[in-house]
Amino acid sequence: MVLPIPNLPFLTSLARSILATVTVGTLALAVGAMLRRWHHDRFDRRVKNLCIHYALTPSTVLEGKYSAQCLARLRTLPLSNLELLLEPLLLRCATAPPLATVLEELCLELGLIDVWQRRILNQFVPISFRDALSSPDGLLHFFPRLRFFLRARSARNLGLLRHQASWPILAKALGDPHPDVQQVALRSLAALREPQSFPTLLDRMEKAVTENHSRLSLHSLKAAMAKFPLSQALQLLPSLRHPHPRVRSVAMEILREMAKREAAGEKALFQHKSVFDRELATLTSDVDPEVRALAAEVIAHLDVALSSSVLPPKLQDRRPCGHSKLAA
Amino acid sequence: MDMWGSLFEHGLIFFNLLILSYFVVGNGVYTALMVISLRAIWIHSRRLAYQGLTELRGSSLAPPVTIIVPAWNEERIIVETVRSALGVDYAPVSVLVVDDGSTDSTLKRLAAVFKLVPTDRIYQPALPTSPVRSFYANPHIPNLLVVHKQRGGKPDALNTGINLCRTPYFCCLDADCILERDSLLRLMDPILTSPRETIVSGGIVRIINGCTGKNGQIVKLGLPRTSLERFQVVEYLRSFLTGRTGWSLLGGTVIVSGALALFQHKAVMEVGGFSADTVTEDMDLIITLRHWAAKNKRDIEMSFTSDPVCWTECPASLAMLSRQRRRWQLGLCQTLRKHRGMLFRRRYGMVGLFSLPFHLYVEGLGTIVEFLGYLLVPLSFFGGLISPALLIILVLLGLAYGGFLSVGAVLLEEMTYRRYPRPRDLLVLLAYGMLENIGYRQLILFFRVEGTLKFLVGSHRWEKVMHKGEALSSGATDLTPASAQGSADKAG
Repeated sequence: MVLPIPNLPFLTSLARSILATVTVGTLALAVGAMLRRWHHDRFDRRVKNLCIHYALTPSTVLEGKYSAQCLARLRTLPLSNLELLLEPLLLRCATAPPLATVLEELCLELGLIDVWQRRILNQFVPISFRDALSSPDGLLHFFPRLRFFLRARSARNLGLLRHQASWPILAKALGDPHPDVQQVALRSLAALREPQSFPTLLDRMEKAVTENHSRLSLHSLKAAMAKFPLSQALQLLPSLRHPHPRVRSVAMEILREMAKREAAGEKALFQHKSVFDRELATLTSDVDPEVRALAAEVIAHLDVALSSSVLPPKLQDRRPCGHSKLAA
Repeated sequence: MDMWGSLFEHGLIFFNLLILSYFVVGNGVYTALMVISLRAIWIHSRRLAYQGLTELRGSSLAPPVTIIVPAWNEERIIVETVRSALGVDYAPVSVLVVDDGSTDSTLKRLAAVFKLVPTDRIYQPALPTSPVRSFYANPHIPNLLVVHKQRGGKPDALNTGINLCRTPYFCCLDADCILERDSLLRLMDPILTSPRETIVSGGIVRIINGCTGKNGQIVKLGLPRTSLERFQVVEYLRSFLTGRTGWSLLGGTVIVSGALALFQHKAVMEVGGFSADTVTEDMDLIITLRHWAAKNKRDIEMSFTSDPVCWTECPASLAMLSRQRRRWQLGLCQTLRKHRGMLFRRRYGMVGLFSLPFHLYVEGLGTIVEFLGYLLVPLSFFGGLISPALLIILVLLGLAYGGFLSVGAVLLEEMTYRRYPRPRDLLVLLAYGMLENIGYRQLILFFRVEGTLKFLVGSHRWEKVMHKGEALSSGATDLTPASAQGSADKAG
């Protein structure tokens, strides 16, 4: 076999072109990195200046120090700037609930809640290119495929503010085409703890177990539902009787978390104990050992009348999983 | 004589074509990975705005995790590592230090600082390991257990930890690493939010040299002082932000750094834990898990995210660097040989068809090809096969392309995490990115060739890299009972 001798002039010219492209590319990347740093620093300074200028700090907002004059000035700001200004305050809401109440009022006044609700429903207010450039997320408005970031952030904001009236929109967002929006909407619904949204979550949970094509993880659904108060437990009854053992087990787990929190908080005792007495007694004899074990834990937490009669015989449970939890 | 001359000439042409193909495949794939990573990291950094770590932090449903720290002769840094592990911002965590028969004062340091006393535990090894000698604990730090065992190597120490692990997930942490407070939360997030079964979650390893630490946490970030360490900073950025992110998005992850990786306990037990067949037990385990998943038709996911961070000390001397790189190359070759049955097999998807062949060709055999290239390309020039212009252009192209990839990695860092806050640091990183291919790359290549030769002669020796532990020793203070109690309370 004779190997072809490479065409040297062609190779040289090709290599030269590639070299030129790579060199220009490297310089472009380096300049890009420096521009990025400059842009970021400028953005940081701008947010800081805006906060100082409008006196919007957690303490001033909490004390209601933003005046009508300040509000009027805020109204003149473009939407993207307003969002920039409020972003740091919104993020603090998770750890400072009183701030959420004041901010909710402020956002309602400024019309931001309406904007976020519309965004979740994919109804975007057109913004100018200039406004878009002034915020890091501004340009996303012009790319429909990337608008899921804005929808997810809007869902997050409504959850952070605990805006109760938004629950139907958030429940609707559970069917958003993008999993990120679904995930954030779920967390916001958990933050709102609106009783009317519970059946929707229950339905999602059952589908996630039985249909196996959910885009929401079972853990996320469990964690969200477990945040609801124990008064919602009655709605779990159909799931506790579900023919699918995994659905029963997940429902039991949610109930256990609700009961555990209630027991730890020493709040008013569970009002539906009598309804659950019979149900839990049945579940301690479930064919699934995990369900039996969880039922025993719930009985222990709720201190239902059956605890003294049902639990001791269960110490003889054949499966170690049920046995150990009962013993504990 | 003419026949020999012709044969030599054809040999050179063949080899030049081989080098060209190596150059095109290697740089082509790395460029594609960089573009993919650019998109993936940009999206991930946007997602951080609504990631929901606060909810996970407070969730009672968050699964418990055991941090396993295998340690052998790590007296300089082990206390800080354990301190950082105890200080993670994840409630249901326990820390298990496996002292693998250290001959220095690793155990003594731990016992003194954490006020450990001997305790009795039942040890039933589901995975075979060297005998365990004793257990140490402190009743005031209930989530810390130290196991002292007979020396058996790192995989053996990890398997001891896995045997003692009672949680559904465990996190491997090298004894010379400092874990960031929210790393575990960030590692758990993809596991808990993905509707698919995620059995591995890996994070990024960053270089601690030049930073200042205190009480197991980094308090001041900075770049190292020497060029050798700075080149490694750029190299790590390229490797993690470009390579691993890209492969993860393509579903072709074969390497998750064992310095910081979270595993599903059940899955690892099913494959028999870490194997001592290779000196890179982390890569070996990942590929074994891939093999197991394909064999059992399990729809699993292996996640790599670039925001969970652990900080490690990189070698500051050439001697230590050579040891480290020889070991990595030896381990790569051993692992590729062990799993050669997966190469070019459709059953293993992206890993079998693309990722492993790429690692074999570019990272494995490519080392020898590149090394010989440095000898044979000049020979071709002197033989008249390559014109002076082409020689110069090819050399410049090789250097420029390497610089392009490194600068790209620095840009990725700048677009996302900006860990180095000073503008000067950015300029330094860019400069080192451009210069990395002049001298440093050739040096690393030489160590890798040594590693490949070690593999060819059948060596299996683990070369220990000794660390100075300077970054943390300066600001370190002993853990007072109060702060120890604080850690324990936090950990539940």
